[in-house]
Amino acid sequence: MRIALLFEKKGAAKYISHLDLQRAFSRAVRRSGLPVKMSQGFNPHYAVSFASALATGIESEYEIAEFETKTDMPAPEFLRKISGALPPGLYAKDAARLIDGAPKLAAAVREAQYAVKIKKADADELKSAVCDIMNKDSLMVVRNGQETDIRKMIKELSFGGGIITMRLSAAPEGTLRPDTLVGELKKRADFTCGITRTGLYTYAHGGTRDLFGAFTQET
Amino acid sequence: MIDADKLDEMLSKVQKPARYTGGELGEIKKDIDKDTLRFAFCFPDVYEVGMSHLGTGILYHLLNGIGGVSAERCFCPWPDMEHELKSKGVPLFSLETKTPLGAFDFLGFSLSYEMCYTNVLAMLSLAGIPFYSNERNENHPLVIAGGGCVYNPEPVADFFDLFVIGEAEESLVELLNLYKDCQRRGVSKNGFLTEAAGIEGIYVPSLYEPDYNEDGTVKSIKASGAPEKVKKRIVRDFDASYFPEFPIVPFVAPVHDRVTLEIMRGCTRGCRFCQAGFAYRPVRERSAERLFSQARRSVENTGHEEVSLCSLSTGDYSQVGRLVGTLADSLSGIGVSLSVPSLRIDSFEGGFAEKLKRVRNAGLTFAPEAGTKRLRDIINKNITDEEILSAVREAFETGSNAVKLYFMIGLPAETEEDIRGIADTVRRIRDAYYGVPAEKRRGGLRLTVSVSNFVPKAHTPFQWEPQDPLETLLKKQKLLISHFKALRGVDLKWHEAKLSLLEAVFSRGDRRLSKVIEEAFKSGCRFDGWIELFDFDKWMGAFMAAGLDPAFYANRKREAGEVMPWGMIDTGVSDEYLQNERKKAFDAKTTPDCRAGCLNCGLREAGLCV
Repeated sequence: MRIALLFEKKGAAKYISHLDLQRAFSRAVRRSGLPVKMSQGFNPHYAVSFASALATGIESEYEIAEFETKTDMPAPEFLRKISGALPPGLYAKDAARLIDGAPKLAAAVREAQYAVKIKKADADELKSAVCDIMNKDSLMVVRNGQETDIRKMIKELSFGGGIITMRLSAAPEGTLRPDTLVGELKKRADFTCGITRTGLYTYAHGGTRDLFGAFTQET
Repeated sequence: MIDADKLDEMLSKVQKPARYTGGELGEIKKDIDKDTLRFAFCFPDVYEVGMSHLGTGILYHLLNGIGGVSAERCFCPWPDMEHELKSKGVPLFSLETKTPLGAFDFLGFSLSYEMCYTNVLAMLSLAGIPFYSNERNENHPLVIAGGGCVYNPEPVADFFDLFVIGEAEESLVELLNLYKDCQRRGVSKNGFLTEAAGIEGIYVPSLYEPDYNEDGTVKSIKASGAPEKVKKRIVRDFDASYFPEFPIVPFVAPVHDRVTLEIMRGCTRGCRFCQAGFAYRPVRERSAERLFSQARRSVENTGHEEVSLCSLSTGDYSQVGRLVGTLADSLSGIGVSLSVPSLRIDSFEGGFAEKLKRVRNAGLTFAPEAGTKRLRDIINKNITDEEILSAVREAFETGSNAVKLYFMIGLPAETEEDIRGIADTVRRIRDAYYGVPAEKRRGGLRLTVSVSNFVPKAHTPFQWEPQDPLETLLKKQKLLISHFKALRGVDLKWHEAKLSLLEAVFSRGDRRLSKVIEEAFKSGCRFDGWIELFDFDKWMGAFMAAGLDPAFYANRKREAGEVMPWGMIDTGVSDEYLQNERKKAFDAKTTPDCRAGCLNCGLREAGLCV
């Protein structure tokens, strides 16, 4: 059976790279004793995949890992066992069985939401920076040596209560990293901040849906 | 405590920031009050290397198990992080509590490679701590060291307050107890150091003064208020000695990313070039039952996918067949693999290769060390050509197709024949592979040959021998490469000769070399063992600035009666024994393993044999 795990990546754990995160999960599975399937091959390891890679240095309240187990088991039991085995900084929030025929979550994700907590800034300057970007039709940045228009990848950008909320494209055909947009804002306003991912979304049932909820069964 | 925002700002700019965050599973963070004895394990290399160091792991957990003691970790920051620390004015800090190193009672450096010495200074410098022990006062931490390099501590003697010679499990605890006792009694730092010199295995260099002859050799070493000889410590009951079954599980993959079980200490084969073979005697084993239980618990606690057996010579473990067979069976049942490094060729008798089949196919590693039987007799690596061939044949017939071979050039009494002999041996091994019926073979042969340069080491029968001059080593490497031209498909690797020269200087150097290390540090040398950062010209400049000649240390044949700079360090093996082994070497006479009968190496008289 396929099971999705919603978890947080906080504190020092935000510095765990994506590759190291995979290894950390593989070890957590072995410690938990959960009947997760193993990959075949020369160096077998537990098959764990993630809905969306998170850039190193960014915290998250909303990460999803996907597992395939050898035997059926209730999701709450899975949640309890994996919670006890995760290393510090990775906290399991919810686990649910994926519905039959659900796509790979990594293939279904379309947007990611971030909360950028502002530490030191001039609020007016920052507001006008946000407005400036939202009023543009195109915003060219150089990524990997290539000029790209990132404006259409910004689904939402707003500032209020000391937090910039950004909803960015996270689709296979185009992903915008939050630090790229923060960099653009910093060209227009002087501030320091901490970034946290707060949601992942898919397009389903005629709208934008919460990724975890869209493909999991109610427990 | 380092400011969290500042730390974030620095970490956002460096490679692999998780090297500096701590917070791994298995990390120990103790409650700290004003009476806590705070010890920082300082590893003068990057996190991934330091976290693979078994000795540090053992001592970290051992000390944290003691009430009133808190041990933390610190690794040498990579140049990008060094730059961040310097530009932000942030002192080097511990991983666990982000405490600046200056606030600890002890900084305990692990010295396992001579080329990490500039990193020791880099760490002290970033911590704002003076390099030389005589420039530090009561308010500075005690800067101490242990590890393989301290069998000749002299090149770094001026930097450290004391050295822990030999196995530290017992002496380090005695040292910390003495420290607490001295604090209670209000004893000064110097008073503590004098009392510490009374603990067996503790060397306090400031209590020893070398005097030099006009030719630069050591004339005498005067001890004042300390024993003339510092005898190394060993753990007598190794089977029952402390071993952590819940090691830290790093997020950043260390060099050895696995559970490591220490199955044995010491080696009694007596290869004459090998410092570990003499300094780490006697042989002691951990029982198979205890290892089975340690393997099971460590895997349960860490979730690692691999278990590795660690020793100087795994094939010499008395029940190696049972150990490997049982472990491989029980681990494979839970999807965990077993790796078995450090095997001698002659452990392949009696179907051992068959047992290894169930072990992860990481390939086999053999170290013939020399290319001819004659030279192998000289270095006391007692294996015949036929033994090499039958071992690899057996391995090939059981489906192995990857072999790594280790050789050395520049050994004493080496001729061009011996260098050609390396290529000839490799050729015979390759032919042996293609002599195995095709249906038993698994694809093409993967043959890797690593050739290092002989570095004469303290406390070995070759401690008097010169290293080949750099030009000779380079010429020999060229000759070697030319012999391998005809050996297609063999991956030949050789060690940087300039690095070998410096290794030879520091492995047998004296106290004056501290100036060279300081100069090298000041000219920017860091991570010298990392070939991409090694800068030989800067080192030569440092020798020039200090007025010392590397050839004096590396390439000079030493007289039998010469006072060695490390003369105060006693491994238990007697000078007479080393001299006699040296004589036998040049007569090409071999010495058997002492487990077949005592050879009177001196350990027994020293009370160090078990």
